[in-house]
Amino acid sequence: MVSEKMGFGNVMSTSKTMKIIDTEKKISVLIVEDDLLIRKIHKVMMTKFGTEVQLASNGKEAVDLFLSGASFDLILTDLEMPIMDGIEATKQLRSMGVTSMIVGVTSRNQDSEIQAFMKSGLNACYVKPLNAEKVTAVLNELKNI
Amino acid sequence: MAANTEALNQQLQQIVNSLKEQGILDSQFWMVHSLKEASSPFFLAQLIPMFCHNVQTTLRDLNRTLEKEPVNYYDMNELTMKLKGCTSSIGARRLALACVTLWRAVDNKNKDVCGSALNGIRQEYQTLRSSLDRIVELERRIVSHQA
Repeated sequence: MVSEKMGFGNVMSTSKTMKIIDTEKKISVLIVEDDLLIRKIHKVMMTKFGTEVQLASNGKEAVDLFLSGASFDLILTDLEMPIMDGIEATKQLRSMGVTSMIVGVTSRNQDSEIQAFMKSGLNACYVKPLNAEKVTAVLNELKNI
Repeated sequence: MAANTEALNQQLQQIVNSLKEQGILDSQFWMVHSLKEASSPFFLAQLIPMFCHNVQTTLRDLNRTLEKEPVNYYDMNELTMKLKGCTSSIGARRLALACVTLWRAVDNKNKDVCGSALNGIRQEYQTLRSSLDRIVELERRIVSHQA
């Protein structure tokens, strides 16, 4: 079993070139999650942390948003989703040149599964539930880049 | 009116703290409760029925998948992870742990143990369900008093 979090300095983290975050405006977040309940919780949580949130219910919707010209400072993505999963979506976004911070949030906690997800191009990966501590770590990392 | 709201909030706190002491809920539940401030007063009262529907639907699908021959353990795995995700996200600790037990049985492709683990999940859900109904009732009364 892997620990709760992987990334941000952990040996499994990938160092992706990050875009400069304008700290004057709200951090924009894309939540990619197929489960309606979890999507609702994550949306309100990120809103409570002062970010501007948009939702996608699968990886394809996330990729389509970027293709339509949208951009986000942070993407929080589930792993297993219909139509396009988190691994495929992350690979596509990175191949499109997306430099946003991409953080995986998954129920899976086996080493091999998390590593496969990280390899797709994530900056970090957390095991659900997403809580205040994990959100704070992500946002602090985002502001420190 | 304020005294009534306070009394209702105290009742809610007592129920949730008792469930936490029993390990049925964890701190994630209070965190989700606190999201009312950033959403609407009805947030938790709407979320809990959504959660219950999620659990019931997924349990039904798990049951059906386990009853088919041969058992599709890939589907069992996906459904179990889905259930683990939503139970942990709302703070239903023992239910989430019961999902881990089922996951192990699915990983071992042991049908009998899967069946026992699924029964374990059902029992945990039944234990939690009546308390969740009470929490929703209190939440609705608190909101109506505050209106």
